[in-house]
Amino acid sequence: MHNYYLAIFAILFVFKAQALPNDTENFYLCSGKTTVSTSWNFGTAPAYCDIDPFGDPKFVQDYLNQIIFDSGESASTERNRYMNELNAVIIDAAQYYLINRKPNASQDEMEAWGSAIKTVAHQETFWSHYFEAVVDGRTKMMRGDSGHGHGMMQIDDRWHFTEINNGKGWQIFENMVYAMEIFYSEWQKAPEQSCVSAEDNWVERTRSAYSAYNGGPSKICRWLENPAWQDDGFYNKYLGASWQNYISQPELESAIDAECFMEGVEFCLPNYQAPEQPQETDEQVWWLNFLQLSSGETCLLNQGEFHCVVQAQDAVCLSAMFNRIAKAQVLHLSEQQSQQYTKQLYDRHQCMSHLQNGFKVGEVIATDKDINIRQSAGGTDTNVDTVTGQAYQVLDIVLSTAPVQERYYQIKHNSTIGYIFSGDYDTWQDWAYQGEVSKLVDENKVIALSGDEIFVAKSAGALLKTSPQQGADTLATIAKDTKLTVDDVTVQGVNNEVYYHVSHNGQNGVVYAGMLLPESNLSQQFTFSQITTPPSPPAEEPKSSSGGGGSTHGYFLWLLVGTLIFRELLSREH
Amino acid sequence: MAKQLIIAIVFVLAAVLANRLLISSDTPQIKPSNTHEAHIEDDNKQQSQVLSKTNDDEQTLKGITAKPNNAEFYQQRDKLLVKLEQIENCETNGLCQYNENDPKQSMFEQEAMLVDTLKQLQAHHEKEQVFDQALANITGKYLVSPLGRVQMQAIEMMASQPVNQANADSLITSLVESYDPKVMMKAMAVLADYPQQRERYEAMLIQTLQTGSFYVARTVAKEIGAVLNAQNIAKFEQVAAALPSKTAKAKLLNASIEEYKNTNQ
Repeated sequence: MHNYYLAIFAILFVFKAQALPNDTENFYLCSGKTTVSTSWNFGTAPAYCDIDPFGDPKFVQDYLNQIIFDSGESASTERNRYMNELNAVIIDAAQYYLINRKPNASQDEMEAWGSAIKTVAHQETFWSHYFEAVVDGRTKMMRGDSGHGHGMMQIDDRWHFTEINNGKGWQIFENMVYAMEIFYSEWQKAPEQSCVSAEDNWVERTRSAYSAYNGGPSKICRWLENPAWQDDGFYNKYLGASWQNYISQPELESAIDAECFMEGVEFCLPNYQAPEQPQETDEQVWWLNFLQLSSGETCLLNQGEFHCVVQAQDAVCLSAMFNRIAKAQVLHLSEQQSQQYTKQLYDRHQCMSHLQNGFKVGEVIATDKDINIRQSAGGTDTNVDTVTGQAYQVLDIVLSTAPVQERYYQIKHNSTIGYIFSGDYDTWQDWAYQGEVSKLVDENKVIALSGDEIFVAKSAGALLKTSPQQGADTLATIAKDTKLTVDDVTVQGVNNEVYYHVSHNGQNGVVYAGMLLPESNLSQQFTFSQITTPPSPPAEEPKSSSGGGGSTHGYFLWLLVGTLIFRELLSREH
Repeated sequence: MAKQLIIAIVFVLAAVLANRLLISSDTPQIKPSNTHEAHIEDDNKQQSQVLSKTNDDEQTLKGITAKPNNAEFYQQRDKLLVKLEQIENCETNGLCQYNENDPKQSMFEQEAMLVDTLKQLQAHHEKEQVFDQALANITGKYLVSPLGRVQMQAIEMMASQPVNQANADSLITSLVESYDPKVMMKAMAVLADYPQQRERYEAMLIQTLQTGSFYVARTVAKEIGAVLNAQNIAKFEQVAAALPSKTAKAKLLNASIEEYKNTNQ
């Protein structure tokens, strides 16, 4: 009987505990926790957990290697290297953020903002984020406050659970942007507070923004009115700026393109960095690198012409087209330099077709093994794997910047949409091969295939046009529920716009089916089966609410309590 | 066996009853108020004001119904309003615990309690189908809360209340500085019902796209399709053209504009 009381108590406790936002356990999803070779010093604050399953450690190793603290190296030497690299990244990130939010910010404000962000990173974690553990050789991320705080800016998984699962913890740029969003809001409110004497009193603004960042919006003047130990600690760090003791190259330009990562691009091309002893002519440098024109396109120079794609992250397809770039990095050209050659712009799908042994968007593949599906190519694991031999449709292609053309395909597996790694030009067959269309089940299908029947879903109908090109003539409006047969499919543009080639009343043309990115909306335009309008549901009963009744969850808990007692009574009877 | 069945039925009924009792007694111990008569008078006055405004289209009567005559309704509402006030001061009255090692803990506790109480307040009014000025005022107060989840709850309340231009105005103003994409998404759905605020609303969206929070600007760019029409498409095209092309918000805005054109032109 004792156990039943304990169970009842536990149930009631759980019921009340639900008032907390997210009662995540200490060191939530923490594999390979380590405190070895850590200390309360820059870059090494304890403790660290594996990046997986929040993100892909390979992504960190390939793209953010410069800002991983390698605990296998001499701590003092490594700390100096690490701090110079991270300093360059934090400066870029802080400046880019403020310029975007406040294009007219003064130089003084820019500097004050930069100092404030550096101090927050010091206060939270001693600038600690990625860590190569000597014990198991795995790449890890900083976890503080019993594991609840994630990353350099310590985003707490109890209060920001959804955000943590969306990459705001493990991915350092997401971590910084998320923190800067909160800090900037308080930074802006600070001048209106009684504890800030003037808009350009940067010390008071910084202290106020931090008090609110640490304690919540209502604590903005805490540092003056009722200082917490965090306020004093923060101010001492602000005054001391002890990170400077490790920075010997304050002007260092990072190879990491912070702006690109802050804009949510995963596989950003590294910035061009000249070799220590440059021997190449300008022409050779241009020949051997990706070039970003002042108009934004990323290009390769070939036979006196710039060959370009709109998005830098697609540039590896140009490398495949001309088989030339050995080390991916991008050189930013001036306006004058950008006009030196004529420009040929390729649609990304046209360019991607040059990948060696690659598949196109819309094609059907089958996986050679159970591959984990991530939310994004290098992002959080969905905990869902593909099934070996099952057919999937390619919905998007992401390329890593490696010259071996590593590719990731977006697929739909039942209700999960995400990206799978699919090898490189050499190893592709170990991962995914051409699938059979007949094996593509409805749950995994998003884009209609040639021969499929589709039905117009929009009440306004669908426009039949002469071609997928912008400004094409409209031939007819096809009414809702009309059945069409797909003759062919065209996918184009950076958002993977899908067009179906169809015939209607003797006219051949294309209908716009929707976009696959950032999220597929194809089902809004066409469906694979006719949807009949269901009969009107009966009048909705008033919802149970906290004031007028109970929740389903509550019934369930009480029923559980009742069942336990009921069982106890029965056992007594027998 | 019959005995067991009876016991089982009794437990099911008891579970239902106990759950109702637990929920309704989930409010802190608050001194009851006896001001319901004054409230009835005030509310009648306010309702007649609302009625008189309908001709100039300042207010609509969506959802406003006869007032409940029972004193219990106002007593319960008073309790909830007092509870909200107490939660506002939760650190001093001990309703939330200050943790010196985790100073935001009390803020999050306060936020959760405010949300819970606002939900109760909304449910209380929905049950009687009373959407009066007092409810609109309290909704307006929390529409500008700096606490994201509280603001979300207030927007949800606003969505089920009669059109209130003052609240819409406050919400639009507060959204300019918002860094919570979920709040913006919810607000966009509600503000679509306010054609009178269209100009200010679109101006706020444009400002957000230009200099707003990174994440909120992306949400606006992604969800702008519902706002685009023949009258404003050119304006938003201009905004898109002026945004740095490499930014996520520019890409998303261009995608929304393209989608609009593909389906409407």
